[in-house]
Formats: sequence, C-alpha cells, structure tokens
Amino acid sequence: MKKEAITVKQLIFLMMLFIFGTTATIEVHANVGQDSWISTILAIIFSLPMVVVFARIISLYPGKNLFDIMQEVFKPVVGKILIILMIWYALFTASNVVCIINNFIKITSLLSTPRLIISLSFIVIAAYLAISKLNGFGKGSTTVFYIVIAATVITMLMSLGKIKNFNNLFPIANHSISQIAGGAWAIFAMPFAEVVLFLGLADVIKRKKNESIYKAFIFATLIAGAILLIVNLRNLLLLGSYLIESSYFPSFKTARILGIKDILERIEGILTYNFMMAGICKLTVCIIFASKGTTKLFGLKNYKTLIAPISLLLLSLCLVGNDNIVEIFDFIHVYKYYALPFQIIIPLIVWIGAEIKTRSDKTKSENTQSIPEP
Amino acid sequence: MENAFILLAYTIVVVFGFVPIIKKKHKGEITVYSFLLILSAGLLIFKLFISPDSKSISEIITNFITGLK
Repeated sequence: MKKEAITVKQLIFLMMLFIFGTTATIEVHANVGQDSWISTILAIIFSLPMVVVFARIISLYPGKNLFDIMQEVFKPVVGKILIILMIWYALFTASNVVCIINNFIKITSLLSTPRLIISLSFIVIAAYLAISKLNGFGKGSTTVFYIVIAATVITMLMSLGKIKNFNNLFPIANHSISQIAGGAWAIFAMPFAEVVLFLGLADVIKRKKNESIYKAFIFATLIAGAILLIVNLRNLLLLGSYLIESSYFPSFKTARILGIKDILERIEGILTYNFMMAGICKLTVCIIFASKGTTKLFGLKNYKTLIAPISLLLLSLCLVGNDNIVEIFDFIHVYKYYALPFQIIIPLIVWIGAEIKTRSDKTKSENTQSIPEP
Repeated sequence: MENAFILLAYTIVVVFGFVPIIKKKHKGEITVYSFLLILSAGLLIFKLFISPDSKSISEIITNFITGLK
C-alpha cells in the first residue's frame, strides 16, 4: 500500500489556512483597542521561536509524528499521559471551532436551525476529509487558500475607498507595555501557537532534499501573520476599536458596510465562505491529530479506523463543551492561560527530551563503532 | 428532531464502521472503538437527558482560571 503524504508546499498552505482561517473573522480580542495591531506584530515575533521549536522536533525525528516521539523519548507512562493531554487539547480546540462556526451561522443566517444539526454537518465534512487521502486534503487546501486570499484581497481593495482618515488608529500606544504584551500573548495563543497540532501530521510530510521544514513553518507564520495584521488594520480603520470590541465577528461587520455603490452589495457572503472553509480545514487537522493520538495511545495501526468514533466524541464535546457564544468568548479571554501547557510547556519538554535522547543515541552509536573488533 | 439526527449518525457509524471491525475480529480495535462510542454516547445522554442545565466545560475552565488570577 502506498504511504500517504503531503508535500511541504501543501503543508505551508494548510498552516496558513489554519492560522488565518477562523481568527480572521472572530479576531481575538486583545483588549488593547486601537493598539491591537501592535499586539499582532508582537504576537508574530513571539511565535517565531516557538514554531522553530516545533520544526526542530520534527527534524530531530524525521518520518515520525509527535506521538511517536513522545513514546520514544519518555517512559511509557509519561508518554501516554502527554499523549492524552494533547488529544484533549485537539478535541477541545475542535469543539470550540465547531461552536464558533455554529454560532456564526446561527447569528448571521440560520436563526432557528438546531445547533446540533449545524455541528453535525460540519463534523461529517471534516471527518470525510480526514478519512480521505491526505494528499487530496493537501491539494484541496491549496485551492481553498487561493480562493480565501482572493476574497480577502477583494474586501481589502473595496475597503480602501471607505477609509477616509486614520483617526481610528490614534492615539498610538495608548496602553501600557504590559497590556500590549498581554494582548500579544492572547493573539499568540490563538491562532499562532495552535500550529502545534501539525506535529501530529509530521509523519506524513514528504520532504525533498532542498526543502526545509524550518522555512515552511516560519514562512507560513509570517504570511498568515501579515494577512491577519492587514485584516486587523482594515477592521480598525473602518469600524474603530469600540465597535470591534463590542462585536463577535468584526470582519463580518466590516464586510457588511463594503460594496461598490448599487452594483456590488452584500459581499459578506464571501466572508462566510472563507470562514467555513478555513474552519473545516482546522477541524480536519484536529480530528486527524486526535485520531492519530488515540491510535498511538492504544497501540493500534490504522488511525483512519478511529476517525468516525472520534468525530462522534467531538459532537458530544460540542454539546458539553460550550452552551452559547458568550461562554465561548469568555473562554477565549482566558484561552492564553488554558493553552499554555499544550502550546508551550509540553512541546518544550518534548523538544528538550528529544535533544537529549538523540544526542545520547548518537554518542552510543559512535562508541559502538569505535570499539575495535577482536 | 435533533435526537433523530444523532441516532442516525450513530447508526451509520455502527453499521459502516463498527460492524466491519467486529467481522475482522481485531480485538484492540473493537475495544477502543466501543470505548469511544460509549464515551461519546454517555456524554450526549448526560447533556441531553440527565443534566441539560449543567455548566459547560468552557465555563468551568473560565471560572477556574479567573479564580486563580
């Protein structure tokens, strides 16, 4: 059987879609008003060392995913505990994504459709993508990314005509450094550091000799970060910080006021498409991550077998996880604290462990080679 | 209505996912599959029938972290 794989190029597109996707519409409330663009820049800078750590973990053990590495580096019990924690993180992140999409649809269009039906529809699509060949998912994400970018560029160009002045950006740096850094941390946690979930897909990345995984991670972070920054500036300039902070979906609000006279109106539909497509992509990555983790945890071989029950578990989590949009956005405010162990502490522990293990293995093999045969 | 959709989803997963695994007689897969199905069904039953007004997980986490701060 041919091993499935995604190329580095596809990985970059997937990561960009993953980072930029849902956050471009909900926009993490950094609570720094008009200084949120400074926080976004700082978040991009903060995330660079972390993505380098993620890339380093992958390059230390080529052809292995996070769970293989955890099992190899740590003792079975510790490795299994770490795997359980990461599975929980992936599943709960996925349930939050579903709930955000769910509420977005309920608020903007399908007012009286039961949330379970909307959730189920999205989970079924994501599960189907996860069961299908990963190569197809990678190729599809490339296409979707181009459409998403084209839509974003169109809305940006249209907004240029609406921007009369830059007053909404002033006074610049009105908040303290600690407040701006706190805002940057919130944006770092959601969405930049969430790319830790791609470590679960590390075993399927097909690399050519001249392709660097470091460059892929850094490039995806920078490009997606730049797009998020532009979206953030656009919303700030058009809506102002007060309207952004009082809105759950500021980009959608921005798109509603855009248009070209009477010729082109109601372009917020494009934004809805972007949001859903990117959301499905994020959901698929989370489902694959959780399935691979569960497969490793119980010592099974094929992760695709478990995608269906994991998806059902996700559906249950959507019900138990969040009740309404207010709860989700309250949770987003504390997300940076909640996500700290999964996004920073566990990856750092794995990285340090992997460095020590690979070096000791290298020394051992060198010593074995240097002993002369009798 | 909602419950009918859930039931349909479970039926599809059991018929097209679980039954073929049982036929293959892979002990490990059967155990994990049934564990996940029971866990998800348990959570659903808890939220839909036993305690519909219980606090959600995100609310519990939010309260916990806010309490720590």
